[in-house]
This record gives sequence, structure tokens and C-alpha cells, in this order.
Amino acid sequence: MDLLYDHYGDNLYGIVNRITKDDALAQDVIQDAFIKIWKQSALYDSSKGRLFTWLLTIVRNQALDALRKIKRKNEIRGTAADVSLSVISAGNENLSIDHDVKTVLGSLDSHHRELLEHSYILGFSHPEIAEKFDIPLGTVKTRIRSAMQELRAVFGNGH
Amino acid sequence: MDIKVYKASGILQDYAAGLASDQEQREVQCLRKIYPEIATALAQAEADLEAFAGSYAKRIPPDLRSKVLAEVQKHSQESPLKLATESVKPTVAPAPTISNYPPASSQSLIWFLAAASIVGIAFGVWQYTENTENKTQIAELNESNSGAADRLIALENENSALEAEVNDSFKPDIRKVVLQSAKEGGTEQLAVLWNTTTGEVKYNPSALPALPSDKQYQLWVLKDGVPADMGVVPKDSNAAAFSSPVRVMAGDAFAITVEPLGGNPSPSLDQLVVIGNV
Repeated sequence: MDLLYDHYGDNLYGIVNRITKDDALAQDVIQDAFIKIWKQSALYDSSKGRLFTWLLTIVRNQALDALRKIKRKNEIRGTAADVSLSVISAGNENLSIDHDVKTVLGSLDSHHRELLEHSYILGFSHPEIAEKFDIPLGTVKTRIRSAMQELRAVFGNGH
Repeated sequence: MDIKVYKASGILQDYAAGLASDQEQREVQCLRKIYPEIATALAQAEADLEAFAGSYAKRIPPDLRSKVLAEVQKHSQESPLKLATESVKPTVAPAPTISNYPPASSQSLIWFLAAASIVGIAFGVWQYTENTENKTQIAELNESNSGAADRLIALENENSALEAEVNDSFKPDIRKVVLQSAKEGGTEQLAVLWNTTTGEVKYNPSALPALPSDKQYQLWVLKDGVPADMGVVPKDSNAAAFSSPVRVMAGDAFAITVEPLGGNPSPSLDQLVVIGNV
């Protein structure tokens, strides 16, 4: 568990912070999530996907549940689009990601980053994204595919 | 299956993002085992998204580490039984003490003992009934569990057979012949897998529309314009791939006609459904 915490802690904490936008709440969520991870560790099946994807699903659900409990989910999600790039431009002292990756990711098309963030980080379903951005569902799927292609191009070139 | 279309559908990204439905998850898990291309694309999408998530990394407060790990440690010391039962722990009434007993008048004491006996008997009857019901439930669960295990074994066998079929279809001596509808604008279509070394011919009969009870499909192979019987298509087959009882080493085309139950020695050409050149 120590290794898991040390290896993925910063990434998961950053995501929880992005969802909750509240340091104290994010810390509570991380604590509860790691207890859940420990309890459910026997359920992880490496043949079904990467460990990080499994951890992220637990952590994200824990964060969204915490928000639901304090009835702030809509408020937080409502401002998601406004700050989608804020993490990239935030104070460097908080970012454990290396500068090269940060720069490369910063070059992503802002709409693509926004869609990836809503889908992958904030856990929006495609219909929810379509409703939020007022675009057809088919367009959401097409744009997310393009976003993934751009991401592939980013990491395919030297990362 | 068109792998390019499947990869472009976005389902792999949903899976990688942990957003796929249960049914989609099962589908992807199955297909990634069969198609290496899908497994590679999925691994790539997961790795890309993990790197993307890295851009959100934020230094976790140092004092949180010991707190979180201590909490986890605390939970790890609790037995699973305790964890499972603590949420349903019944409220236990305090044990009666002498001072709780009724006044020591003989009539009250008799009533109290009588009431206690009735409660005791009722509890005994309830326990017996409950115990019998529990035994019945355990027997039912064991039976149901055994049924589920049988179904699982059957599904695993079916899955292994399907994987073997798929692997077979990629062998170099397998020729795929696509049979198209013989009618203009018809949509019937069926692929025949012909092993040119062994002569075995396989196809999926469920791709064809259902027939009346007195009719049956029949497969033919044409060589120099002469049709040869390859056997009738079983009406009740649910198998993904049916192997023709007749083997053939040479042919120019395969065709399927609708024939009376049991088949015909020669094809009814006006009943031609699908045909395809080798």
C-alpha cells in the first residue's frame, strides 16, 4: 500500500483536487479512497486493464460521492470548463509532473483537452458532455476520438 | 468483424477511461483476447490517458501520508467478519439485574415466570423454524451455485471453441468465400471458410433468415458449372460455425438454395439464396 501511495498518490490527489476544488475535502476523499482500495484490492484483475485506470475509477467515484453528499456537484461541475487549463498554468511548486510532459500536454487543442478532462478526469458520460456543451452526441464521440488521436500524436513523438 | 471500425467507435477510449457500461466492458475484454490489434490499441489509449492524468498531478500534503496509511493499517487489522457484521450489530438490552426484577410478591413472581417460559418456548419454536428455513435456503443456494458453476464451465467451453474457430480462420490455408444474395437488392450474405488442405468447409448458418418448418437450406459447391451436394444446413443449430459433412478439394463457387426438408439431389436454381465465387 505504501508503494501504491507513493507511486500514484500525487496523480490521484491532483485529480481529486480538480474534481472537488477543495484541499480539505480532497484529503478526506484520498483517505477514504485508499481504505476502499485496500478493501477491494482482491477485486483488481490485471487482465482487465491498467492498475491506474482501476485506481482512478475508485478515486473519482469517491470524489463524486463526496460532492453529492454535500450537494455541491452541480456547482463544481458547472465551473469545470472555466478552469480546464488552470492546472497546467498553476503554480509549478504543486506540480510533480515533469516540465516536458506538461509543456507537450499544454500544446493540446484546448477543446480537446476540455473534452478529455470532462470524460476522463471528471467522469462525465458522453450524453452529459453533449448536454453541457450543447453539441450532438455523435459530435462528442467524434471529437473525443480526435482528442485521443492528438494525445497519441503527442506521446507518439518522443514520450 | 471490421477492427478499424470497432477501434474508431470510441468504445476503447470509454473502456480506458473507466466509463464503459458493464456490457461494453465484457465485450472489450473478450475482443482484446481475440484480436491483438484491439489489445494494442487499448493498451495505448490507457497509457495515453494515464499520461494525460499526470498533467493534473499535485504534490500530496506530506502529513497526509502517515494519516492515510495509519487508517488503512487500522482497517487491515479488523477481521472480515467484524467488518461485515459491525453495520448490522443488534442493539443489546442490558442484562437484567436483581433490582430489575418485579417486586417479590409471590403472584407477580408466578406471572413473571410464566411470561418468561412463554417467551422461552416461543424463542425455541422460532429458532427451530428459522434453523429449518436456513437449512432449506443453504440447500437451495448450493443447488443454484452448482447450476451456476455448470453454466460457467459450459460458457468457458463455448468460449474456447469460439477462440479456436477464430484462430483457425487466420490460418494461411483457409480461404474465405463471401456468398452474396442472388436477388437484386437482396441483403442476405454469408461467409464460407474453406480449408483448401483438408477440404473442410465451415460457415455460420444463423446468418440466414429463418425458413418454414418444411424447408431447409442446402449448400452446394460448383466445379466447371456442375453443382455437387455439400449437405443440408441443420435447422436447429446455434453454433457460430457449422462444419459441412462433405469435404471438397476443388471448386469454383459455393451456393445455398432453399430445398424441401432433407435436401435435394440437385439444386432448385429458382430457389437460389446466396452465391459466391472462390
